[in-house]
Amino acid sequence: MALAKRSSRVPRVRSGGGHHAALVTAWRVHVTGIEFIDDYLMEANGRNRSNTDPDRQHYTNIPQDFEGWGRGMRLTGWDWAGTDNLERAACYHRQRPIHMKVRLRSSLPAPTARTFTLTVTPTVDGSTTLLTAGTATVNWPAGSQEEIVPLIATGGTLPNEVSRYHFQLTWSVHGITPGGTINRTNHKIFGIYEDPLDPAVSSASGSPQSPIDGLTKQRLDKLTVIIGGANRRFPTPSPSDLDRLIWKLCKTINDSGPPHFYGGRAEAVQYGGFGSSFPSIDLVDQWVMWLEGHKIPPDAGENPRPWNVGACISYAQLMKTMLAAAGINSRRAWVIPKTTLLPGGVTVSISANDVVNVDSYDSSREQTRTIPYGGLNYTATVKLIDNPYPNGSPSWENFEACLYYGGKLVPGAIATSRYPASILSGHVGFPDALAVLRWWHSVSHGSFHRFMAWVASSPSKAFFDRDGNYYASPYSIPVHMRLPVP
Amino acid sequence: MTLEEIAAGEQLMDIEREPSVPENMGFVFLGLIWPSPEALQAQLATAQGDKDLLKGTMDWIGAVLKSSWVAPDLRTRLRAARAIVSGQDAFLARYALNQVKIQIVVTRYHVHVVIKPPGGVNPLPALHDYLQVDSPEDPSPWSGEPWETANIAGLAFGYQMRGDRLSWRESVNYLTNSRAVKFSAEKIATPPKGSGPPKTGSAPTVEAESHWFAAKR
Repeated sequence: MALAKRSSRVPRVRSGGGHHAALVTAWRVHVTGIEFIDDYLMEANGRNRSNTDPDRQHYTNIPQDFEGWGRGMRLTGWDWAGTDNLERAACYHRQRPIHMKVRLRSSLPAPTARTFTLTVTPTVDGSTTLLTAGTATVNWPAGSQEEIVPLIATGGTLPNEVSRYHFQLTWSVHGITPGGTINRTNHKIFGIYEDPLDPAVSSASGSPQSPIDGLTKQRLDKLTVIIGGANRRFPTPSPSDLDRLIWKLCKTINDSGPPHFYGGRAEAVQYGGFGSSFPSIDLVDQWVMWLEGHKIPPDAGENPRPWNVGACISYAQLMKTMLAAAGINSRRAWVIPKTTLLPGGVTVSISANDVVNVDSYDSSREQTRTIPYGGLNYTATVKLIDNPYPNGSPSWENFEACLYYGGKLVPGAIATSRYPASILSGHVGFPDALAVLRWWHSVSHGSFHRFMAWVASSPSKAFFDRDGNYYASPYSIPVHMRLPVP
Repeated sequence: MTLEEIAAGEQLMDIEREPSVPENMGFVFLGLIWPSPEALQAQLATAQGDKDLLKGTMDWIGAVLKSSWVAPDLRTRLRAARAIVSGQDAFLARYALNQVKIQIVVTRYHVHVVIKPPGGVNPLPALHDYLQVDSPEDPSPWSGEPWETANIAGLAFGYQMRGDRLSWRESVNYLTNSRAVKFSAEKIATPPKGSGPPKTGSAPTVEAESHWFAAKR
């Protein structure tokens, strides 16, 4: 009350008001800035068109509009500065409280020092119970018209989820007159599983990303809508929930278009061609595969396709990159074809571990034999023969790339409707690499049924059947002479 | 640097036509026989004006042949001709640089380079002398080992014993009579550092390789 009395001595008209003088009846504060703190640094959605805020051009040699899937400027400073901007989001670790720095401004310089309580009352997706109110004591010096509250935290913590939330924050003050509600602000907040991981590192434990890079609203929106649907929330209280989350993401990527498939790529999206001489997209930006993409020839002589095409391992990397952004570890894997029957009639046993490379492609683990024919020694490797190109050239697949997590595998870039029913109903992927190999071998392209053969590239292209007989074309190998599948 | 022409009609390996060999050895002589001036003139193709094809060809020559052995005027020397070398569409050029005779034939999927130094040639050292097989990123000098050799029609044919090849250098083979050597390499792009091989492979048919300038995959 004393403060209220003293406030009556404050001039009733703002100085310099001129013709627009406003009547001031009391000393009031309101929120002019909110910065989410102890969160993960986010970046603006990037277009790769310029270095003018908020955009950043990380790939000057790729003359394409990334349509928001790129990385823009780093979002530091005030996340809210007077008006709601739901395109500027913040990102927190699940099960952590929301911490904020708040800027308050008063209607007039405070005639005397005063102390009051600032309260933030959150509503999360309409719920008033997920998080509770938090308070901070504000000591306002005399003469000041603006103060920063260095920390105010909500009560409680974010749920154990990977989600996007709509926050409505009601700001109120108590201990001064007039008290009560001073602002209502709206925000988009993401909750992720763990600290973001480096999407380039494939290992059993993953590697924390340092510095954190590549979190944008457009990207996290995509992740949360895939796993959480319209309400954008995916609970993760148990490890089996993570399996379901990963499966849901992989399924959507495989069943969507974009991404666009093209076999002539490895992990990274490349512009205009394959190999070290063509621009590569960093794996943290694998999200560009979601672009529809302007069409160019992916390699010299090829028909135009979206510039951001990917092969099965690129799809697996997209899965991995998206999961890594939410702090969920997964690994790259390549299932390689092998047979149980060697030329000469020797049989060998093949285990699930024998047919998969995890983390990196190791060509020394391919099944290779030297087969003599016509005065030359051919170095032949087991491949999965695919249908020929339109010009008649034989083609084959070197591997089936997968995302690997917890011993389970999800092949990349093939619609899950083509998976065995038992795999689809399990909602977690293939149980092991042999199951992938058997299924992969069984997938037909139209009327063409794929099969395994020994394929030599050195000293020249040549094909050999189960007994080591030579063929100039694999399609001449009789069905009964194809290689047996483990 | 002295840049000279090679006499019309000269075959650097002293062979006038591809020998008759079993079917599986036919590839050994691809890109070897230089066409007559009349044949070259008759087969000149409009691909000469295809900037993308010409650039791609220059890029591949630049990747395979050491820059010190690339003629400064190579771009204008290159000729595009249909069904011209081993019956295949090709860009081709040849010249003598500092007395080393160099013949380049680029087809749809291969690069063939014949080298004839004045004092004869040992193929494996020549590989390092003339081709860019060595990379600064190699932890130790690249050897291509293990190599296998065979005698084909009186010439020594050498090839690497490998399964999959992850770059053009892993596909190089040679054919030599000790006076000249032909190196042949597939146009296999080196994957970006740290990445695995592409998912798919193919074995272009003779037909597919032959008709580069009217190609459909």
